[in-house]
Amino acid sequence: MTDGLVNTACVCAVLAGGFAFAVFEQTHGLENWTFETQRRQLAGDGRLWAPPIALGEKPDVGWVPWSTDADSGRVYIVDFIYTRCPGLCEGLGAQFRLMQRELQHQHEAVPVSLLSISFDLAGDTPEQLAAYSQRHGADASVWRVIRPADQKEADRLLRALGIVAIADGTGGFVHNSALHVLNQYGQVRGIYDYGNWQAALDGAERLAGEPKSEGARE
Amino acid sequence: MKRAGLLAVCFTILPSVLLLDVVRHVIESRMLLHMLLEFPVLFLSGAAAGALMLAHWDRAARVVEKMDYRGLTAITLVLCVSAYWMIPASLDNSLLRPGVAFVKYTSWWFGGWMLAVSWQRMSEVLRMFMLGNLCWMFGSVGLLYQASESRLCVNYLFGDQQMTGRALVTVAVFLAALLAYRAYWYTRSSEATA
Repeated sequence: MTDGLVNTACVCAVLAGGFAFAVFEQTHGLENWTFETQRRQLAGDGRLWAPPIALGEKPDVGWVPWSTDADSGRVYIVDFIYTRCPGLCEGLGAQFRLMQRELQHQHEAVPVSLLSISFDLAGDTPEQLAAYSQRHGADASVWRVIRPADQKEADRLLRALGIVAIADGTGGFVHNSALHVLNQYGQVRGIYDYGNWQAALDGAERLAGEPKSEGARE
Repeated sequence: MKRAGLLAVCFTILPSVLLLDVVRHVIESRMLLHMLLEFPVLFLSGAAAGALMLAHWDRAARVVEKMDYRGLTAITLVLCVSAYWMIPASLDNSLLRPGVAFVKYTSWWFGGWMLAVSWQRMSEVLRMFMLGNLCWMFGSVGLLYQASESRLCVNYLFGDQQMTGRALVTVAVFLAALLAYRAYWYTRSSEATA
């Protein structure tokens, strides 16, 4: 009986230790209990990367905004949209318009670009993307409303960044919307709440002022 | 008896339906079904397998007994597994990372198996301790899911989260009633023995 009790105590200690370790790992040190906060923590630590993907329409597919060997020094503020979205994506559009205005009125040109990437390839035709651009007054030299070249590229980007779009039951989507600040290498350097566009823009401008090699993936 | 065995076999193989993408997608696309259908099915499947093992291969049960004094290991495992899968990030990661999904299926199944194997050896006080712990765990998580003003899981809608919260509180109330019932009979039988 004593042996059984000792064995049990040892197994229980291993189980409890394993559980504590798993919870500690899962929550990044008991700090991030949701996937979204984990994603933001990864971005804050510089460990969230967007793979180089081709954006644009056939036959002009092939614009790759960021890549590991880029030397443009350009910083991107990226959001993910679908143009049929009646609320949030329109709100994001309004915020991008404000950011565009600020960027257009800078005394010196800042290498910051705005990108609204559609994840709804089936629903968002080039015409609908153009209509969204027009509705929000997007100036293509500052703000591009675009979609990945194909579904495979879209899935790759969304998976890498932890963007999940789920059907809302009324024909639309619910997704973790936020403003992502990416450097030329595709490294996410900050994720800002929807509504916090000024902080996102400030972060992007600060990042654009850093030396070009900053943040390059080893 | 034969019928009970057949039922146990059916429960044991029931989770294999999750190998079908369509079924798994339907269940895991709703938080309510994910937590209150898939988890219990996996747990019951493990428990059924444990019961079958006890009936046909009790030597293995005796080996387990050496590491599970009065069911303490089983209770520790069940409480750890339940607590881990109440974390919203665990739910999301189980849907986005195949390795985490595998851990989810096996941990719930193994928790059920372990509990079934040790149930007879477990004292009533320990059983009530486990029920009490599960009760407050489900209750508090259910209240938290309802109190949150935003989505806790990126894979689930806010309304689904609210509904799951209410269902978890309902389960907690049911467990509390079960606990009270068992405590009542335990007290009566103790008095009768005394």
